[in-house]
Amino acid sequence: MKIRKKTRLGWLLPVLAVFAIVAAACGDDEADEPAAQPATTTAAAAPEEAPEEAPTTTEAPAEEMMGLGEVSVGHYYGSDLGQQGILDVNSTWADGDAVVSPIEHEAFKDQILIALAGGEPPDVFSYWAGARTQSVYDNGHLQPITAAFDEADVWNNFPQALVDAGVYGGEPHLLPFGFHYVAFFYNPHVMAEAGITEMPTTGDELFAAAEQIAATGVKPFALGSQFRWPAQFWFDFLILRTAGPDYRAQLMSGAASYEDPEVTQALQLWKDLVDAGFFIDDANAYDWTDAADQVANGEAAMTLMGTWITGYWNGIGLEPVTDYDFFNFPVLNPAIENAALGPIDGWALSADAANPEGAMSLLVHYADPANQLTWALEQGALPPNSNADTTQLNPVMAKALVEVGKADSYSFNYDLATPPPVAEVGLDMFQAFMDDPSSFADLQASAQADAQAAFAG
Amino acid sequence: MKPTTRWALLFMGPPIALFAAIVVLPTAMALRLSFTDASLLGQSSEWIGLDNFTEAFTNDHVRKSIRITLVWTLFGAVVPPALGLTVAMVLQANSRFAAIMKSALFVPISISLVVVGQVWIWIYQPGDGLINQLLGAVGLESLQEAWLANRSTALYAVFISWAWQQAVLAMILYLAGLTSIPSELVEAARVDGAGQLQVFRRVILPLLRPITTVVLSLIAINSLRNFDLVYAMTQGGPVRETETMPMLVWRILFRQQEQGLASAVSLILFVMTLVVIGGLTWWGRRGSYVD
Repeated sequence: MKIRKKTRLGWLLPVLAVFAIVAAACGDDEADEPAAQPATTTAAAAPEEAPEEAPTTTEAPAEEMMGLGEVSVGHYYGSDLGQQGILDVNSTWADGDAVVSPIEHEAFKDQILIALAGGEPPDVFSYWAGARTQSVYDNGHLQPITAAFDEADVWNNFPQALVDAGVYGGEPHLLPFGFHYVAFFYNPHVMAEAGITEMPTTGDELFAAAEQIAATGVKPFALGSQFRWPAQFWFDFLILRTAGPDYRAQLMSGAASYEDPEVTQALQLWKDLVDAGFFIDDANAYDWTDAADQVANGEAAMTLMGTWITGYWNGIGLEPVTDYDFFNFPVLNPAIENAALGPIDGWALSADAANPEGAMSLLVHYADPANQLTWALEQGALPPNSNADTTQLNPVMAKALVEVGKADSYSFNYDLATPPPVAEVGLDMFQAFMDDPSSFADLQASAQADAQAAFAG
Repeated sequence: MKPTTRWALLFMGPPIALFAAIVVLPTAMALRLSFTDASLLGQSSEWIGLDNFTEAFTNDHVRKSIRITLVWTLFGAVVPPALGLTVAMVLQANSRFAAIMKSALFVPISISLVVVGQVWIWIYQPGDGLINQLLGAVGLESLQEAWLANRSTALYAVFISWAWQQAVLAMILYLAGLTSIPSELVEAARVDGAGQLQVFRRVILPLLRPITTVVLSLIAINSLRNFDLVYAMTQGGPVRETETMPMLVWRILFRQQEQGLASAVSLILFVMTLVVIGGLTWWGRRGSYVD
């Protein structure tokens, strides 16, 4: 029996010792490194804990420094440029401490859904206006940001189309932070060599210009549809310019069919351009940056892309106007209104936010015209706040802003205009189309069947 | 309770609890979800019986994905083990350079699949990729291809990059197996007049059967759960031609946000894995010399 007791103690003592060491180590961490608290430490908890501790002269400045406490921020600007831009904007926020978690753009699409579904999202997170935000809102994962809209007077300081893009269920839920404009971005040197001095404004002129460019041995259009989404802009514009924004809205909501003559007409026009050999070969083998490179190095003349391409080109040393410029997608039917196209990036407040008060203050900071300009200049976006000093934008971005202003309406690109499950159907169709446009009637039929099933849920 | 039973419970308890927490419980939850219309972001869900399974077996995309996964697993059961065994036998026969060669050949298995994917993307590039450059250098421009963008070559292109790494895994295991074969048995067979091929077929292969079971099991598991490489190289494209089942589950869950259907497809994959591994284990035991 004695031996047994000794054996038990022999087991117990090391366990207790390890436990004591771990506990002591944890205690030390808390005492010595209050500033190194993980992002999970919420500012909301701080005021509750404060009364338990005797106020000391050393704690008072710390509390002042924290102000509204920590606000966790998740965003998809994972590039060096994007990360730095957010840090620069946050650095001027004095009311609290923004703890940022940047995630690579594509990975963010999954990560944020996991965080939201798991009930542990960041307080504030970047998101795309349109169907994606609608989906998150519909499932109850957002809370209204009316206070931020009111305090920053977003209602009057932002263009109406952008204000509307932030309103879901009758209340503001997304603060527009930057937006983009999709157009034909071209290489002026290639255009000059092909003898094109005036950019095309109609469908016939575009076709003629493409023939002129092709005659010089250069492909008129670069497209990198390996990951599908870059092809959507072609479909978007061909529908918008031939059938109009109202019809497109019906198609995006399931009220119209992918087998409609309007869709057939758009795909036929697209097919004509592909059949004419105007697109770079094997578009599905390339990403959008490959397409941007093909335009930059003169293998292709232009690519249909958003203004974010300017950030990429600036990063590789190209000069706006001299090395790249843009023109609008030409008018295909003069009777149809001029719709601008592009995504709007914004900030949303999680329903499960640990520090909504701090988050609201940060959102007001993000709505500030100077901060929006900082972001726009660093990222290659357009600032939604009309009071931002746009004279600082480079000439190409300034021109994009003017073109948006001239447009009769602003539409989200395809994968932000239709619910996520339906967007999958269309994106598949566009990639299949680029693989073999001859069978587009079959693609329309299968897309309609799949879209119908997706809308039915 | 006997003291030995108490000790057994003490030692077995934590791993069993851990196994239950990280395997049994999630599987049970996936099973429950597969009978509901749960969406990834939804706060509630309804019981819909076998609807998700019915949809899975009638949906063209799911059936295509099952077919791709089975083709992949079938090729995976042949190509990497055959390559691995061949290289292992060559290395064993040439002891002079074996050490250097082994070190060099071990490299692929130490590389992450995402990096493997990036390397092979460059090899397959349509313009300046290695394969097309080589074809151009020997005057075979007509065979140049956008290997990952062509719907008829993409699956095989991704498979080859995966097999390149898996062959090394097979080689390592076969090398260990070959060194454990008593040389007396091989010599005795030769004394009895057996040729090289007969020694291989009648002596070496049967003795390697337990190793072959392990190789096939590991490669089958890697085939059936293959996600990283496909995601890195094609994300299931072009036009879903490389969409393996794990890739499809990812797509249904994160892009379509249908958690119930994703769980049902996961369970189908789980059952496929059980059947394949169970079959291989049975095959391994049936003719094993160890038994």
